[in-house]
Amino acid sequence: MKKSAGKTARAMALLLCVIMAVLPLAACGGSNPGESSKPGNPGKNEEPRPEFVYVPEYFPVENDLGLESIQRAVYHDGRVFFTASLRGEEITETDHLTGDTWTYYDYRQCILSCNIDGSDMQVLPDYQPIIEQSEDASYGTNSFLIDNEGNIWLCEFTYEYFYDLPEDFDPNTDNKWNYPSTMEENNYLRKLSSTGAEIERIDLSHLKANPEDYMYVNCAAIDAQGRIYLACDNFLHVLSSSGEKLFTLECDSWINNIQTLSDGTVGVMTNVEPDYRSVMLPVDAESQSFGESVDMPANAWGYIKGDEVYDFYYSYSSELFGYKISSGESVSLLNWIDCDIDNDQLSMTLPIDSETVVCASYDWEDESPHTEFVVLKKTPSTEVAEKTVLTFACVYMDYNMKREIIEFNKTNDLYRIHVKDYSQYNTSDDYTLGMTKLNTEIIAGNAPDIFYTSDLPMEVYGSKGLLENLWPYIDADEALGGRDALVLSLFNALSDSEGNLYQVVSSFNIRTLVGHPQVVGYEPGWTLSELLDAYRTMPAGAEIFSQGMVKEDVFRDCLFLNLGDLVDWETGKCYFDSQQFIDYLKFTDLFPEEFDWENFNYELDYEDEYVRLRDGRQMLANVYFSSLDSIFHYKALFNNEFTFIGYPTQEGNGASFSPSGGLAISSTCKHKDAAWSFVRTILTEEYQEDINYWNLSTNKKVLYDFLEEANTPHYETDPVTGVTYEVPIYEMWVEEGTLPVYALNEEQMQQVYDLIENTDTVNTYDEKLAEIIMEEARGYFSGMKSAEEVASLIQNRVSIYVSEQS
Amino acid sequence: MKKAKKAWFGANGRIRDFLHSCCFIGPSFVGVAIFFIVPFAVVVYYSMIRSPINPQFVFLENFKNILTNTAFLTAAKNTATFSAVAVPLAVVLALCLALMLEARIPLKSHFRTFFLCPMMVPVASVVLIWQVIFSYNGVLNDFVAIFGADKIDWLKSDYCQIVVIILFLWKNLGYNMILFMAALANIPRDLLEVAEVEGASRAYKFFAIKLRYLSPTVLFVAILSLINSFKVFREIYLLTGPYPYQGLYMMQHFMNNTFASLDYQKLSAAAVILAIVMVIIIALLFLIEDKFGKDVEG
Repeated sequence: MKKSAGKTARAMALLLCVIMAVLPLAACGGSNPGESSKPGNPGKNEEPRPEFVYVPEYFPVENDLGLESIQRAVYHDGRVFFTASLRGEEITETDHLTGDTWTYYDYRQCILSCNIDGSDMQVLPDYQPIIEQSEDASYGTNSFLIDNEGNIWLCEFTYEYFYDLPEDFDPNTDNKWNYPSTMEENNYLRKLSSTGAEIERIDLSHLKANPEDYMYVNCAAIDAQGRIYLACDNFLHVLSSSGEKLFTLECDSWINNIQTLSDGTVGVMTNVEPDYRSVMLPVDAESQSFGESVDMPANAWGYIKGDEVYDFYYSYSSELFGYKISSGESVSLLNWIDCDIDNDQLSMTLPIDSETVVCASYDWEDESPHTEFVVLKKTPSTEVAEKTVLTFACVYMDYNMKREIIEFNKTNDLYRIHVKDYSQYNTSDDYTLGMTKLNTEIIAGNAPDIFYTSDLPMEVYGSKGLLENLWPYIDADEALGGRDALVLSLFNALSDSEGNLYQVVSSFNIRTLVGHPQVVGYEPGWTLSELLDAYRTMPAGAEIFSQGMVKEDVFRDCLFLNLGDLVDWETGKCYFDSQQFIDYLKFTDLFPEEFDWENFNYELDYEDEYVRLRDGRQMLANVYFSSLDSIFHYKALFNNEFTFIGYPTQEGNGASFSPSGGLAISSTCKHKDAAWSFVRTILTEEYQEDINYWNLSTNKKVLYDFLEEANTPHYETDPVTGVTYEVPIYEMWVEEGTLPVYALNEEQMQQVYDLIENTDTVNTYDEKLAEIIMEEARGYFSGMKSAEEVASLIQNRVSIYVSEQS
Repeated sequence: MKKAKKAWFGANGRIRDFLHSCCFIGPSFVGVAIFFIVPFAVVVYYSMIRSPINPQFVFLENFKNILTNTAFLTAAKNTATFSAVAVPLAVVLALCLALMLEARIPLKSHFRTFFLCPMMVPVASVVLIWQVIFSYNGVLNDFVAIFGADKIDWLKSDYCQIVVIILFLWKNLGYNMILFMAALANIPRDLLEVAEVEGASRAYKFFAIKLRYLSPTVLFVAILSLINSFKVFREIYLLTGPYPYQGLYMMQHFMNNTFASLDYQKLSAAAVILAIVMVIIIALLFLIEDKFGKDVEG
């Protein structure tokens, strides 16, 4: 008896041990059924191939209807119904007073239907907008629904302008816009048949609290019982199927979207206090109230009606997600880039069922823009040709970069790029989580192949041997033209002290100071004492910089350009207790600690910078040289004579580069040549000619061709005398009118070229260093401590930081 | 034969017992291995390679680099100085308070509550109070200004460690005092009575009897205080950020900052050096306790 009890006890003990040992393993996650259909990495060696992918099929739409972009679309009974403005004839008009002519296209609002591949596209013949579009009347639609019976529900708004014209008004000699006018705004809910014929029209003005209020229907939905839900600002109005108002509910804030859920009820997507988090409020039509709120993904936008599988769909970044309210589960269905689709061009996305997604894209930037339907079908990944995958890491995706990646994936037979946007891990409380995730994956040996360098700590990565030196790739690239094809001064400035270049960039701008040669001299670059000497020649009461510059701004601008003199990263020494740094601190004595912007009266107190410079009340202007307009602007400010004098510094021209749009290759990448074949595209003429509207190109030919425009005079011929004369290339608006600016002469062009070629510093902002220095410097700015004390404190603290890095 | 059989089953019995013990201790051991032993082994590995991206074996090169790094040496010196001053003070002062409260004084329970209160105050509140007192425009400077002295930025001066030592003692004395009070209550009364009868002085009774019985507690409190002296980083970080005045730059600052800048080699080498130093210190403490308190252990 005792023996059997002992045996039983031992067996129980053993069983307990096994359970305790196995129990922790239950925490290991299994596969998410949704993720098995997630596309993206077919063929990548390090990751398992997903079971399914969404394969696109493209159907360009014949544009004889004049279709451009689709406005709103729904799927019903095997067809896609959508609203669009169809382009009609080209119309030319003439101003009878000035004789100026202009042309425009006549657009008409229509409702169309087609198959899911865009074929058999038909305009609903009986649909007519409420009013005709004219210069005094306009209309639009802001919601489009189809109920279970196939009736179309459309929210339309109209604006009509009425002018108070005198009785003797003559349109041939006068303009009605010179007279007072009133605007009447109306909102209607229209019920239309399947051919577009109006069945019923409901005036929604009765929903306004006050007749004078402005009303806009954000979005609409229909529940299974045919009730209509209209969201106006933060109010939800519920109407019966005959348009009778049933009840109104109020939300804390703006209603972002309302959707019919899979059970036929309607949910309202909004934000709630106190933390403004996203929630879905289900509407209980019987009790006329909201149900219990359900937390929504913080990053969701672009909600799309759901089906029997998901309550609704939504987009974030480059992915389409399905959401189940019951489980709070967000499932990534597809990555647009992996499907070779630029989702920024999509005007319609309709998940038909769990196997098919239909969308329409319109490329506005194409030479011949057209609408294209794309049908994405869920396909076993074994049926899709395998390519080697290169991973691309970014924190927020650049629009132009996305287009290039899609183009690369479409045209390259051997490789494709898979994008991982780490911004998806950021939250409203902590926007650095994405960076932390990326760093963790790098340390775990899972570094991506290509980095998009914006917002990434490239200096840290470079110093840790994570990045590939790109100079050998540039030098060997004959098609690109080697180093000579690039703006060498910029890339030399980007290289580290050993001459390694860890990133290439597609654009840049230059930051410097501009002054009049008679004050600052003709040669760029000066020291702080020379700046002060020049300032002493200015009239009494003159300021050095523009209105509103305070101590902290000036100190920061001067300091970070001179960090090279104050910090030696190689030896780990710094010199913040030097006289040079103390002088920069004392320089800020010339500026106020704060500027009272809150009480600043722009009408009375604002002084035009041109006037200040002309009258000698301001010495220097801050330049962000990123386009020709900036050159023309300062040419006008300084009456055609200027010197890019730069920020005060011990050496150099006092200017600094601010690069953008960079790419880098990981040193662990197994296919570096393939990675370079993509990275190099941002240095090509074709890429930079398309994208660099607001910055300067790093491809030398593109840049210099662009700059030549500033040196090319514009001429016009007098139609009467036949005399040809030069006209301004630019007009600058100043307080007293406009200033004409003519093309730059050779000497001025040489100044611009010299600025680009002689700048040798990159504007890097070390956040930690800045934090330490500015924290202590504020003690001097507020008068609490002397400059020497502050310099000593900064030296004490920064020494630790610098020696940590060495 | 019988003897051999008996020896065999005896040995097997011991093996069986051992295996049974392993089964019971197994889950705990696996947990300790996964969360402590294996990560430490990984740290040692990281300290001997060039980088996680380039895992070339460099043996002691990282250690040589770190032992010549100014930031590491500053952190080590500050940590050692702080621990060398704060820990003995925490032990001695707590013992004094415990002895004081053991004596018959009025309002004893109120004093006990008063000394224990700092333990309940959240760290953020403590930091706020210290900032109010010791900042450049704080209460203490207002007080010294009454006497005509210049203001001192206490946390950014050579007095910074004193401020943090005061903070450390204020926070930890109460708990240490309680531990000593419990230990004092466990000293056999008859020994003290015998000593009293035999004319022993108070000092003799304390050093010859009480202190010997308190030696395990002194060791425990010393180790606890040593561990807490490292945790003071939390308060310093909240007061002064990741890069404080040099006098407050501790080992954990160094480790946190090197972690943030992905410098895992420096971090791992520093962690290994710190672990070795801690092992030596605690081993020394155990040796001292063993020698000093051996005769009073049960």
